[in-house]
Amino acid sequence: MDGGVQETIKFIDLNLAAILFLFAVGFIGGLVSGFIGSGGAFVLTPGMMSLGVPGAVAVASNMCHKFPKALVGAYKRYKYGQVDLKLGLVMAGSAAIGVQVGIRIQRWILSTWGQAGSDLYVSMAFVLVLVAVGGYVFRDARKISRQGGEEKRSPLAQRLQKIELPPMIHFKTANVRISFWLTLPVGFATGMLAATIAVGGFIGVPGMIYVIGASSLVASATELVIAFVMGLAGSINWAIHGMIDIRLTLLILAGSLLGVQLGAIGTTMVRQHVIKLVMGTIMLIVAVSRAMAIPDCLVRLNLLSVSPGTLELLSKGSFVSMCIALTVGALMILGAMWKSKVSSAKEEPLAQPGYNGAPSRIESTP
Amino acid sequence: MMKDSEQSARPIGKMVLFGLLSLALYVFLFSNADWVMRNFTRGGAYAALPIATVFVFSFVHGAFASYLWSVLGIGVTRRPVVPKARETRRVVRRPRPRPRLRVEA
Repeated sequence: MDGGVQETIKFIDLNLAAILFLFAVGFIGGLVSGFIGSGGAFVLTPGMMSLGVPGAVAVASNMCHKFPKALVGAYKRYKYGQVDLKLGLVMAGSAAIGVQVGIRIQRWILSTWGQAGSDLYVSMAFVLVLVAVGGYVFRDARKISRQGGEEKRSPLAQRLQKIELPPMIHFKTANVRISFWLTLPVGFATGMLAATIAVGGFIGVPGMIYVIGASSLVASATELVIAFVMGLAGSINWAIHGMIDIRLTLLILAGSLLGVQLGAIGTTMVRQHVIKLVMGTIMLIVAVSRAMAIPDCLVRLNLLSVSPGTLELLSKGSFVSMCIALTVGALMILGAMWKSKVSSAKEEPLAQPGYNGAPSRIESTP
Repeated sequence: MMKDSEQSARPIGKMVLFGLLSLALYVFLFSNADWVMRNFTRGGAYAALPIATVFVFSFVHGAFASYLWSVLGIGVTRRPVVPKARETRRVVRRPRPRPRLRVEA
């Protein structure tokens, strides 16, 4: 096996431009992940592939940077009292099942419709999930913003919490008491999405907010625990197959460990609905990006006829809009932090992890 | 005056220490890149090498990053406290027998 892996996989030679690119994308991706809990790494796989890194190595090296980044981010946010460890571990357990099912579905689609069919499935999943969930999150954030910035527990979560289906679990930090069985679909969907589009947090964080009833602050912080558990398991798997290019991983990590801590600090400076606003915006721009990839899949399946020039343009547009999504998200976070920093001298603490009068975890320094 | 005390509290020494450690780790790894790539991609039990390496780097570089933001004055200006979750225990209503007057004829 060892020799086989060495012979078939080609690892790239790194130049200064590639090093700077990986560091910069790592930093911006880390910033977004530290703030919204996920979504920072989706540019890295196509970005590395554009540098000439083989697809499998790009996925493996990206995943290997994700779990230590999530670890550092989760630790930082745990110190701020935002992480619900029990919720994260329960979600990670069901997400692991979702990942396995997602991989099986992917394999079945690949064997039935080939690579083009698989790509179409991934792009369609991206667009449908991100437009539906991202649109809802964005609209909710705007609504909260108009109503003064106070976040309330969703009516669905309130109804679900009333269902007494043993075993009931009390998630202390999230301040939620809910049936274990009702957490399963959220974790399962997170894993399924992670196996399909590689960013499970786009459903995990909204799921924890709108279905389980955690606040944005706790949900985004807890997602980092799920990302760590799933990322570690995935990385061990890739490492056993010798696919991780540790140079790429460490270069991305150099930027992302700076970014993820800045993002984590940012959550203590802004109102909770800003997390939703950033997340919804990124999801909607990424949906546009993936929609641009659909015509190429349809052409390869002989379901559509488009000129090669147009396809190339759409492909470039897709990558550029992904970069735009990440950049816009990062600018929104930095802007919100700057605004808060300027006005913080006069104002009271803003971060309120819980709902409905639950005590704030951040209090003024004596 | 207050500004001076704030600046002196900033962990410049720790930042420099962990920054140098992090730099040394990166220089060591990249100056031995051929050996590293040959052994880290062997698969099987050698999978422990990349996993252990990222843990070491994340501790050292993560500590540097944390101190760097502190030195730059970007940090939580409010002290984190342990959360106190609201009591969510349900109130169970128990039947409370009341004394009743009974007429025995």
